Amino acid sequence: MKVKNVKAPDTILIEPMADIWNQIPGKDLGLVPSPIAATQQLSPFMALKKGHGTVTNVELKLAHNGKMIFAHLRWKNDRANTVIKDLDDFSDGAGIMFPLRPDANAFSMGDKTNPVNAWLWKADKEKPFDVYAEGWGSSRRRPAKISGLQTKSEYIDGFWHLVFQRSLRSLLIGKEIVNFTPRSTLGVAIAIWDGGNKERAAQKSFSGNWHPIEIEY
Amino acid sequence: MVNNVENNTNVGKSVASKRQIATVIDLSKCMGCQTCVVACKNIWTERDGAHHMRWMNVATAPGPLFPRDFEKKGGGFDENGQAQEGTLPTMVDSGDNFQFNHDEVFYRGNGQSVKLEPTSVMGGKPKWGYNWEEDQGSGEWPNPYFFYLPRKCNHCTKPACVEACSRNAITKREKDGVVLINQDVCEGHRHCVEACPYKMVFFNPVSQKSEKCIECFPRTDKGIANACNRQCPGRTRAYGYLDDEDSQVHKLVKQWKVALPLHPEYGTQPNVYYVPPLSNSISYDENGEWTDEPRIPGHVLEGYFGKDVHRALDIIKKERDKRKDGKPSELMDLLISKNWYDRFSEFTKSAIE
Repeated sequence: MKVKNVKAPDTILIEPMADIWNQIPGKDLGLVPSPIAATQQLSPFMALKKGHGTVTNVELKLAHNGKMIFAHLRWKNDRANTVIKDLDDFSDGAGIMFPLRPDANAFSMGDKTNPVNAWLWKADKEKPFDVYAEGWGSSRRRPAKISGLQTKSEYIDGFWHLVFQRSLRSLLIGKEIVNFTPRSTLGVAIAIWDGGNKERAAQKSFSGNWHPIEIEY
Repeated sequence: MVNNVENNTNVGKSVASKRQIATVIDLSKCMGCQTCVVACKNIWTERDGAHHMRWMNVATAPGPLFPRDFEKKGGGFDENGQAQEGTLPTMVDSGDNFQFNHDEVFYRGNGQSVKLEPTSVMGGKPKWGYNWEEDQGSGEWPNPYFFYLPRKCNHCTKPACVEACSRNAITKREKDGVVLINQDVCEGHRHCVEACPYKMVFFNPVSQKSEKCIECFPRTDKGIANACNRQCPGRTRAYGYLDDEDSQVHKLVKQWKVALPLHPEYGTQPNVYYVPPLSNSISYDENGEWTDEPRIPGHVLEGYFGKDVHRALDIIKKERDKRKDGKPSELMDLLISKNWYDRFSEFTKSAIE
């Protein structure tokens, strides 16, 4: 799918309910419960989990305005789980992941030589996280300010609407962070956590192998 | 995968430690005074998000213990070493963190019209709390029975929490087997909380990370015994390395074998060992006559410590009877431990020094 070049200011595109998003075509991505039995070596306890992956699809729209790139996600969740008060509460979450090497494996979140970079939103947190990973269990959250990552979210009529905003080029030059160049193609993958179903870590809905996206000039 | 030479078990993550510290607790002497609980609470868990945590806790057995009904919340390993599913304790299961109306009782001039009352931290009247069933125990008059069961993280030889963490945030120290959760790596997924069959890992909803007993390592690293062991006024505790043949811990666990793990069937090889309680109360038959039956039924202790408990109790009784007859008993000398410092092997420094 294309990351459309849209002539609109950041202040409008960051709004999940802004009318401009209705004019941008999106893609409905099917999600599956992540194949958790494969995490046996990482955690034989987590590998036992069943019943995760309640969110079955997410509508993804992508746009940029020459300076900033925006990822708009919309998915159905029966409740907005935004508070961790009791000891068995979990919050809703969403992640969008990009390969830092063409050979990075989406299912394993990369590996030591083919890392990935992801943006992570948690419903109970004001600020999102930038995530770097070299495979399962290795993910490390980094403060959003290293790439100017921002989010805005709304829960309306049983649907989460979420926008991630980040500069097309990050201030951190190097291989550890994704950069978006017009006319380039790269992959994207999505993960959704339903906090009401006690989803966290590998207990999530996942979009499978990379979906190709092209940054429109 | 690493072969733990001492126990001949394969563990999924490299957790074999060179040495293992251990605690022994004599349940005949624990009087449920909670001094150990307060010692730990004052040092480690008197802060936001940790008030409900009782890393050291003492509850009445039989009973739901603490956290409530942890014995029904799964975790651990089965007899084939397979991981078992566990469930998360709630705030109320974890004893709550009662909020009190001190201000309106003491400072608002309400006289006797307002009484001191707790509110659950989850809102509303408390439904359960730490030691809610204190001293209730079990049995029927004239033979009711209970004993106190002090519990803490066992710094297991095969820790389920280490295996459960998908981020490798939990490690077991090579030098002494202390199990620690790295707060910089932990993201609060709580698979460790589910996996611990003793439910001795606690979630902090403020920091959103999991925490547990750290074996007072800032003290033990300096030769000071951990706070719960050292503060016990009942002289129930012994502390030291399992392999230190001069230590009481070694003598009670490895030599005399009267100090037993709690729920050995959970499969984690815990390193807190218990000398089972030799019922001190007399039992009565239907005619009100004394009997020789122990007040705490054998099958009840078997439920906590396994079949081996009968052998251990026989040895303790035999050695106690020796002393009654005026004969010497090394075991009784160990359990009485006239020299208090003998309990702590090389960990005899004072915290004030």
